[in-house]
Amino acid sequence: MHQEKQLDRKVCHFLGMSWPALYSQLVGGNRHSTSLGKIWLSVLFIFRVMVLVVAAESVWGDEQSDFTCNTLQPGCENVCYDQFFPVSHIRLWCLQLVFVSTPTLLVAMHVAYRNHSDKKRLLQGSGRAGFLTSKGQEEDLETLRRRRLPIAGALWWTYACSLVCRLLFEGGFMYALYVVYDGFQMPRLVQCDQWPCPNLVDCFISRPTEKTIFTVFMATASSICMVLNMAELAYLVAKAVTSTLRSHQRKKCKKSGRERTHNKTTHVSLVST
Amino acid sequence: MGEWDVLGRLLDKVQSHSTVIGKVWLTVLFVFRILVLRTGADKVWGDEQSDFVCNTLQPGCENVCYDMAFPISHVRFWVLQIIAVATPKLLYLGHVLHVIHLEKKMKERMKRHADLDNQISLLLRRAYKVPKYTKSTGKISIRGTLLRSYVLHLVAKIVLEVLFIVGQYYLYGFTLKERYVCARSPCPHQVDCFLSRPTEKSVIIWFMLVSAVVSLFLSLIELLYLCVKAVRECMTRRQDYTVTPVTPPPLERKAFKSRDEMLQNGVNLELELRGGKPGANGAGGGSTEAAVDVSLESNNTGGEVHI
Repeated sequence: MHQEKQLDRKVCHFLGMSWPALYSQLVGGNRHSTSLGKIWLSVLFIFRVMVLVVAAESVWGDEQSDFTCNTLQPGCENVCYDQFFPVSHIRLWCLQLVFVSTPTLLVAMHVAYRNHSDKKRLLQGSGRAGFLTSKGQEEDLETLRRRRLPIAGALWWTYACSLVCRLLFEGGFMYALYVVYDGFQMPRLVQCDQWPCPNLVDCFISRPTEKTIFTVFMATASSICMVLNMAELAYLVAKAVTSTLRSHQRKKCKKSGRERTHNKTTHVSLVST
Repeated sequence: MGEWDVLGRLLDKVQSHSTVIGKVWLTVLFVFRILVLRTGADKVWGDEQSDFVCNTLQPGCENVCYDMAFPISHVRFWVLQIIAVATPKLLYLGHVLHVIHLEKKMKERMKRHADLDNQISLLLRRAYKVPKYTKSTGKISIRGTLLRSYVLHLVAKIVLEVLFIVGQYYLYGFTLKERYVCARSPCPHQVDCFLSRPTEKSVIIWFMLVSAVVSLFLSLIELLYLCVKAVRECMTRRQDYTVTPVTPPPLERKAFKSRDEMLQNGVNLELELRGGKPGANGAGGGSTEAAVDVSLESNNTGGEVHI
């Protein structure tokens, strides 16, 4: 049983490379996200990844070894377990976390691409001008690397796309879990009559209550993350709409201001003459 | 620390914005609870189901009896308890980071306007908000809304800790007996089931319980300490007003070591001016001492506590 536990852990780690490495990647891309995005990352790592690795994996560790059927027929337990657990909860959650974290890497890649093109432009410009000292150039490159890009233009679209992708993945995996296991509750007893079981046998699942508690916990954490993503998306859209309206207003004011001064000067010229 | 790294890193950030007792609480959390959980409890509870043996050959009986005896394992219960108890602190950290972010923006704006002429800069400063939480040394002082959220987080911590301790008592009691009697189907009749390592588990349960009680005690003391300090500050401020109505606080007569301090002093003066006579024409800082005094009294009603 202990060996199986170790194997399960390795599978999850293989799927998710390693959680600390993923965390450092995400934190790097998270610099350019909104505050809601930063909250989402913390919720993801503390309430989902940590709980999964520290608690949930050990609950599901002995799921097959302690799956007992009321029969002595060899092979019956194997087929019944396979029928009721096509994909283990743990594997589904690992995959869900990996898929949900991936869109942030898109944003990080976009930022890296922008920095790269800006750096090239800077180097080209200094080469042409020739009067920038190497020290000045280094400082400029440092500020380029350290700066925080505002979420506007193409970056806004990438960010919005990443949010939509995250929402789709979360929703998709939650729905898949609900459909495969017929809800979020783990039954205590399942009945199975797959060959080679001789008749309808009772099979007992190990730790059903604890598994139900953790399934509900992970589903709740997943819903909170979805709510945060939706709020972030709404905030981005609202910000974009208000900034476009403001720029329209400013253009109108400028235009009317120019007309007014033009009228004033003509009036003055009329009066003076 | 492995998986607890992320939580550890976030809680470390809050360390510098907590009181002394808060720092002790964090140490207790990490050393006595998380470390013990990782190194000791995991191994002791490792074989809890495989060595849970019932006096029957009926297949499935052990599974259901184990499930009835332990709806949630102690180890997982403690993991959830630690996460729940650390969450209010993380929410407070969010608030502190938000405040730091706003103050940084304000300071940048002020630095930009400090290059202008003195009079004009003062007039312009009126139009903007001024940093409220940053002290002259650059650190954040816990006052006003920050203090309120700190107190709220303490109360939430205490409530959660109590809930988990009481919950543990109702679920399992505080000691484990070696025999558990179970009569759930498919067990054919009442069967005796035997737990693995009940004494060792009881020792660790008591250890974790004592650490939880110590953490609870520390949180209560911290709350009391903050209340007492707030009351004391209130009393001394009232005393100052009646005894020394004209002398400004000695702080303002200090020689300034840096431009930041000068800026901060100007900001404080502005605050006092604005607090004393709203809308009054106090440009140039030429206020009377009485006005300074009145503003001192009215400005610091936000329950400021210097920790």
